[in-house]
Amino acid sequence: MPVPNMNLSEGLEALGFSRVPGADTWRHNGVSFAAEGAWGVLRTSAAVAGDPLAAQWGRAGLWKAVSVGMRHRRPARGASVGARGSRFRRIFELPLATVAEREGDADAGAAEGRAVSPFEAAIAWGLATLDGQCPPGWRAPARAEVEKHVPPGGLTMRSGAHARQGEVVADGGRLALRMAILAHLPAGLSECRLAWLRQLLLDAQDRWRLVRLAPVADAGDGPVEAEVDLTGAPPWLLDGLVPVAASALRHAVAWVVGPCAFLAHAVREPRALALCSGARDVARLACPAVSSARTPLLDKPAVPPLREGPAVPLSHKPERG
Amino acid sequence: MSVGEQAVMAAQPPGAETLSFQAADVTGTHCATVSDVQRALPAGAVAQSLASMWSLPQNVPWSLRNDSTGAFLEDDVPIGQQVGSEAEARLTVTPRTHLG
Repeated sequence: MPVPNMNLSEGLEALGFSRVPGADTWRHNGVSFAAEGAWGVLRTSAAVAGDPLAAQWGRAGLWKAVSVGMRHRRPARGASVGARGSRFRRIFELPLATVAEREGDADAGAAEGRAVSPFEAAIAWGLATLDGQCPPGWRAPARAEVEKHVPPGGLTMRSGAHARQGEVVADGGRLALRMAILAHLPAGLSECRLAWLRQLLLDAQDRWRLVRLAPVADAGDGPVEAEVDLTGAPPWLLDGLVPVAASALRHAVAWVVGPCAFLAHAVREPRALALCSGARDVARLACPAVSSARTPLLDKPAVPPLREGPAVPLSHKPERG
Repeated sequence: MSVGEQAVMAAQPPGAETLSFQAADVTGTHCATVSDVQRALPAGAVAQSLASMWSLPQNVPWSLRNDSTGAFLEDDVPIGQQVGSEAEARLTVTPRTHLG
């Protein structure tokens, strides 16, 4: 899908970005912007420390951690990506159509005593939530107001035998769409199953735009959820963004719920998981703490087959290279 | 129905109410106690999920019928609003067909 016809430079330069010579990329204070298809993407250059699922979970805005080479461009050849865990960077993705349709709308932009374009206001939202905090003075609209923007059935996910109902969380300084993947993890899940689960959630977070996946507690017994956080979003943006966010949430949960349920199932013995080749690698990638676990090896990975292949307008293919 | 099949249906967001009920297909071939179903789920989605779990044809519009009243549940209405707090609700997965 082409980039909507908008003047990106003007808004970005007003926010302090400067264009990288010879590239369609802008940079400002360690944050870069690039238009990719129908999406405008902010990226941080700093590595994400710690658990990439926990890094942004529950924090304000659309920022989330993705792995380098998936949706975060690989560093230049020869450049160091740093120490362990630094293969994750933060990313903020905005469907440009949601701001393009508000171009010229007087309601969509007035800040600091001057008119701003909807695009500039949306990018300013990204920058304002860079630290994960709710912008000062911002209040969530009433839940009923947000639910008006959700199309009928927009927060109902059904995939095979799995059905989930999402909800709008609107509470003062918090606005999010949230959907449960698993009610709770059974206590006592093996390290191997937890590692596979973490890797699966990381993969889903990498693959699906806008959606963040919950970190998995070592002790289990907590819920596993997905969310799209809209905290701090300009009110006029919700009209276009909420339906996209609901769709993204549905698709991501549909993609991940079957394998998650399989991994968390207390009755089925996932012997294949423990025996599969690469289980040790999965454990190391998903949770460095369990990288020392010794796992027997076999020939083929036993990632459970995905039951449903929904249309993937919100997913992307990994970057080559 | 195995415990595993029941768990597949389960989804309970934090703080949300859930319900349990007895479910069977219209032929009586399958029956199960389904628990931890989100009350906010539309009844139609629950019916289709049960049909899928039992490998019933997916090109058929399945609905839930309340055995105690004989009434079909509204597909688009949350199941929690239609089943209420009956501890032993019995629902039958039934194809919604028109015979002429």
